[in-house]
Amino acid sequence: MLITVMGGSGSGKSQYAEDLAVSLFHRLSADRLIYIAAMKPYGSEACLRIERHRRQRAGKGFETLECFCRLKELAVPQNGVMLLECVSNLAANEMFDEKNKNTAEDITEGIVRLAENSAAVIAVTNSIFSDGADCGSTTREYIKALARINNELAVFSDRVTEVVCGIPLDIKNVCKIGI
Amino acid sequence: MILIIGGAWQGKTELAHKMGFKDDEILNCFHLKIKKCIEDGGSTAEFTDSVLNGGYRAVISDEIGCGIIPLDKEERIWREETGRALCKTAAACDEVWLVRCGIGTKIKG
Repeated sequence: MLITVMGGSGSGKSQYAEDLAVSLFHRLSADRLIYIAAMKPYGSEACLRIERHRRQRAGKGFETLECFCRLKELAVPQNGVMLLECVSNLAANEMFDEKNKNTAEDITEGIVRLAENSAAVIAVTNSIFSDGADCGSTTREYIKALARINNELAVFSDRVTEVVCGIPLDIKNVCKIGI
Repeated sequence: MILIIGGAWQGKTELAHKMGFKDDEILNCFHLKIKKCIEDGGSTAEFTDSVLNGGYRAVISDEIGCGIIPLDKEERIWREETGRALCKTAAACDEVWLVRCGIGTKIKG
């Protein structure tokens, strides 16, 4: 099962995705509950953010697996519920640090492969498409790549939810287990 | 209390007026007041509490978190703090309305 959770900055998407992962872990009687962390711990802001997320998910029972790039090569744990946070970091790492020309395709394939081989994957992604500002060609390429990933993920997803002010709004829901 | 959110110029204030709220019952431009609070060195959590307990019937805010990450650190902090303040406000409100193209959709309540 693949669920895509999207939202803007500070929208409450992470907390929503965490709680959903915990509930799916129990519902699906999964063996492992795994948080796949894509943000690199470089710089004080990133470290603060990582620390805030750690505190937020503390006590919820997640194992943390770091994956900053090449998601396609990640060994998939058996019967796990996996929360990938977040697709936008993964895309930036691939595109800017790894200079990957096939960022969108590789990440989409990586996530779909993960979902096919586990109990459930929740992919957290960002809505960054609505500020209207012209931000230069490099950033434009990045926005385009993330949009392609989000759109492709939506096709494969059983559910796509946008979180607004902490409130989940389903854009698509064909889940058979009533979530 | 109700919360009305949406992008700039989407018809949020008009919706509040249509619902019968008077200007003095509305806290408008919540996102700008959060910005002022940060600039003044205040706590956005405390400011949010003061709004929630301020006797308003409606809070209106722009949604500002759906663009590319701002280059400016202050802008990044403002954006995120506004998002978190809105999550808290939405949780405390009886109704939340999202306005797009002048059309309000009730997303809570």
